[in-house]
Amino acid sequence: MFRDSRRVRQLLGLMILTSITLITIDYRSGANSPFRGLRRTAGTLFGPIERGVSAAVRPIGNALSTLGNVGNLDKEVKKLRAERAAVEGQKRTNDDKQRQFDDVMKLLTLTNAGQYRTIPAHVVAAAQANFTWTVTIDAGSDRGVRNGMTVINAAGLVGRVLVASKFTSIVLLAIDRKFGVGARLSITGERGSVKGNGPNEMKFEVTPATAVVTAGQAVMTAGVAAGSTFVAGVPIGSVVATRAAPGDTFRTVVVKPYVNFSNLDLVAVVVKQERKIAPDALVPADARPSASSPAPPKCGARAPAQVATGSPSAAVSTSASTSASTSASKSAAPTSAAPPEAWVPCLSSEPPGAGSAGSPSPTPTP
Amino acid sequence: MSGGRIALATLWVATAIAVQGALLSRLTFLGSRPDLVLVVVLSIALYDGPLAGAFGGFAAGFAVDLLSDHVLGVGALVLCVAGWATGTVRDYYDRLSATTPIIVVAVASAASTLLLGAVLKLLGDPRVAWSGLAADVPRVALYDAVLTPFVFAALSALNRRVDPTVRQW
Repeated sequence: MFRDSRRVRQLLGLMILTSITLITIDYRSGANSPFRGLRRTAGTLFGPIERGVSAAVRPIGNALSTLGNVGNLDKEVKKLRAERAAVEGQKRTNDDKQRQFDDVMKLLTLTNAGQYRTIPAHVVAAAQANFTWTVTIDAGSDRGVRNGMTVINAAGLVGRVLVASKFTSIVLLAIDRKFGVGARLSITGERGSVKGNGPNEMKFEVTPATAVVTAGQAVMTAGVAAGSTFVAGVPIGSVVATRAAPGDTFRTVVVKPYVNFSNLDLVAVVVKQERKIAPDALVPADARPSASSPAPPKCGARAPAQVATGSPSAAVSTSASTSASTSASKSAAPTSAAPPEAWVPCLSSEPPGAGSAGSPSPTPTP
Repeated sequence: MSGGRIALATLWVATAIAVQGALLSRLTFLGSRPDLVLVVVLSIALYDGPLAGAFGGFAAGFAVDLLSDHVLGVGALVLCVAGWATGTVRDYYDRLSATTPIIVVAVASAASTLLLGAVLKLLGDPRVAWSGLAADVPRVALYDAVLTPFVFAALSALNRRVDPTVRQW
């Protein structure tokens, strides 16, 4: 069975010796190795073969190397999934926080502009029944909420308090068909009452059917509502369309509410309006009458036309309600070409809109 | 060993080198690669004894050395010794069971990987670290053992076709 082991050992010794010699020469000569040419030749010979095999088996190689990395990939995928979930969760939280922050800031701006004293509240539940548009808020009589109080949010009118219980209150939304509030147009000052129309846009019935109503105007609360006293000057919505059937005593105006009633969250119950304010102070910027009266570059420029309607709820700024202002307003109101000198300059601290409002009411509000 | 079988062994080694370079060098499991050239050399040694193993190992190792950038002759030395030792061990068996080649290849792979790493380390190859070598040895042994049944079966089938008088295992 055993072959000529002596000859094998001799050959083995020879080969080992050759190897060691090769190692020694190659190691000692380093970069100047005499085998450089040989290596180059071998590379030239094997290179194309390797390249051919490589091209043929590349898909297998890729598949296998994926297989070889499966453990790592799996770990990597798990890690990335966890990271993504964390980031998404954080983003959701941030989005929600940002939205709440925006709501609070807008509401603060509104309540400041309107000089309201308010009780903040969150919507905790919505109406259970169809056709009923109410929400429950988490502020009740223990915090000063009373029936009939006006409820607003950052965008405008939300509704009024229907039932104030000890810790929560039910708010009748402005879009409920039972809801009605006295309203007026921000620019032309036409008066009427706004009624909720369920999921459809609200209806504003303007009393003289001949009234000229232009789209885009803001509709504001006028302060009188059936069964409750509303604060004045809360923006309700903007005029979308208008129609009047022949013979009607009123003109029906379609009003798109500013408030999005489907995602109510932070609201404020208005306890009291601290003082009367300029009638258009709360009108959203895009609904302001910038076209009819170019933006006043100076104090004392003309006010929007609603002054002329003589609305008792149209408020005045205390500084502007001097007799001089009143007379100037009366003389200048019919024509927009009145020279600015005819106006009493407003105080430097007064915003032009408020100072220029002018007023038919000579009595300063407290 | 007939001329046809020598040509066949040469072809086998050349194929192994090409496949190793093109395919298996990209195939890293946990940081180690199977060594197909070693498996082929050991299979030849198991078939044809110590002389074929030593000579085949020397030739294959030298070719690998030429295609690598490490010191020339290290692969030739290691594969030559591994082929000779495997062929010698094989001569103690009358008959190989199915698992014997696998075990022999696993042990020989571990020993030659260790020897290769040790020689390269002694020659100052910066890529070899003892800790990495210790981790490599069992893995290479395992991967080579997995490759063995396929290589050995293919080799014996081709050997029988080329030379029907070849010993049957």
